Amino acid sequence: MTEAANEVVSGPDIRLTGLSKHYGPFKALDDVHLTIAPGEFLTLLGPSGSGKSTLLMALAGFVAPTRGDIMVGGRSVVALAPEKRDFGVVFQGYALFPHMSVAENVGYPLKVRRLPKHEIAARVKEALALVQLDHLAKRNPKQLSGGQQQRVALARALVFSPEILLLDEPMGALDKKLRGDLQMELRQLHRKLGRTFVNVTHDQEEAMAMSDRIAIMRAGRIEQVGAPRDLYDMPETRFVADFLGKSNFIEGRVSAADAELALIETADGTIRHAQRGRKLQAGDGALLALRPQKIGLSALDPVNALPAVVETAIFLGTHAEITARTGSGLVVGVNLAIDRAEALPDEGTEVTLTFDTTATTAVRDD
Amino acid sequence: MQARRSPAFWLLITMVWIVVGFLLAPMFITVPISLTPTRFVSMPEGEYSLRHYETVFTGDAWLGPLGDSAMVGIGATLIATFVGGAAAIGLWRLGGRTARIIGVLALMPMIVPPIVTALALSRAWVSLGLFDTVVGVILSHAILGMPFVFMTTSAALEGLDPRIVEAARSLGAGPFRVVRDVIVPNVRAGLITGGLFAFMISWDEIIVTLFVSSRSVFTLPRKIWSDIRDNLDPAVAAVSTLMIVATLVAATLYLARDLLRARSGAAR
Repeated sequence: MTEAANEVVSGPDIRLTGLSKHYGPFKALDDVHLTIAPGEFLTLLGPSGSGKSTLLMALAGFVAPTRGDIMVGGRSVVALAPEKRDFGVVFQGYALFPHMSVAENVGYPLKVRRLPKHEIAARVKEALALVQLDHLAKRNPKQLSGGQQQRVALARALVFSPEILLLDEPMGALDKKLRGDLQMELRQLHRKLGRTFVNVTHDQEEAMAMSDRIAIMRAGRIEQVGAPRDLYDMPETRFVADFLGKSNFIEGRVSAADAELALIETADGTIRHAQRGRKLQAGDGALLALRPQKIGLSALDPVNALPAVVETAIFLGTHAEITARTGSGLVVGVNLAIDRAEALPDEGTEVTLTFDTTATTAVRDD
Repeated sequence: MQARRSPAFWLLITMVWIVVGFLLAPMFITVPISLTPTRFVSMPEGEYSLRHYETVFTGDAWLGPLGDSAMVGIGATLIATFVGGAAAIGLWRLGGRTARIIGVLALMPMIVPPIVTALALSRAWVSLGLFDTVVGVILSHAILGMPFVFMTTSAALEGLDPRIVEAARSLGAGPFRVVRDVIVPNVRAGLITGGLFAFMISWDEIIVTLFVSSRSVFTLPRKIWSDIRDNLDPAVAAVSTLMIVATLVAATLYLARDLLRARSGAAR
């Protein structure tokens, strides 16, 4: 699955079993099971308070789990102090040492490891070249821009060649444009180094752009793990469908179902739903997730058609965003690609929302 | 804009000079008295002499207390800086309500009236066998100076990102190494300022000193105090003048260093 797997990937896997962290009655982590393959780029994605940062800090050794184990390469690291774990960590806000120059910051882990001076100098140079900052070695961190500081933090976390790099919201403080550039760089860096990267973010675009796999977290648990595409196309729960991209949700009851197709009776009529992922049985209640861009307004001979009235229609250049209200009062969001949006319907127009049998995904409600 | 000053400005300037006058007035009495040729306290009339300075620098009468004060001051400063700094750093790491409560307790020696501390320490030192010992006086002064180091260090820590501690540990530094390499260099100014406060407090401390020592430890303030009570010797004025001169020299050096730094900073 990972392109990095083509190169030499050695190093330990990370195995979390039943990891829990309780603060009194509050469960910051609740029975987390997760295996991270060597050389994988895994992102922990979730809203704030979902436990993603706690999970990363437990990996780094700053949060002692209440229960469960963390195995790295088959060895439990729970009892190891953070400084003994040899993981590179990039912290939120970068946490650069303000009293040291850029070169001293990057050289610090090597100094702690008592490497000879000339070797420290050589490796600092190499690490700074890796993040394209060799010309700023003598600067003070405060004189650098946010993006540059982030790169220094990255160089510092990589200079001692850790097999695992942990990133805690590494792009959190950067503006959107810069974020995009750094995401690409980070992804390239990951390919080049072939080490395991575990990243934490609440930004779904960042997660999709960089990760081999994404673990979606909610209330201290991992809701679903998978490749970005799989998560997007096949969300298992309402939460995942809603958190990763936008979704419309239609409730109904399965009136008939075979291996390929299910008929779902909803307040707005029958929906023909191609069975994939979660199999629906006749008589079940069903919750269907429907991506806004999978809905059209004028397909010939539509498989599924919901009559609706346009409430808002906004032209956004690359696409148009339309909201329409069905007869039952359900508000459906529709994204129309620009070529199909040429005839943008006026507000108040009656339209027919059309979509394919494969457009809907049956998700668990929770 | 600059040509016309408001009456408030002139009022302020007048007040400032009155305050400066009050602060400086003792100097205009102490310094001349220290130069009097007579054996008793008087203003010199035309004739000046350094005989009282000679008294100060010969024999143990003044050099002894000066030595005691220096030893106590340095000892108390080292202990106060270490304990106060360690407490500030530890509580900063701890955080939360417990830390805030302990933080208030750490300031107690500064809040409690010295006479209360004096009484408590005198009783405690007697039963511990520390009464009238150098160690006892050093510990007493260290207790008095500690809150100042605690305050200045806490203030310096305020602006520090707590995550740099975790960053240093993730990079391989143990807890003590983190304090040495990362925390202390960033709060050095706070530690030094607090240490200076602690030294000054010890240097002119009299109340607690009177209660925890009698003969074998005799600090300078104590010597001055007993001298003024027994016989009014102009040597007291000489000692005072010496202290004023020392303070002026230190302050001048400090300002000069700051100015030099500001200039080289501006040049950059």
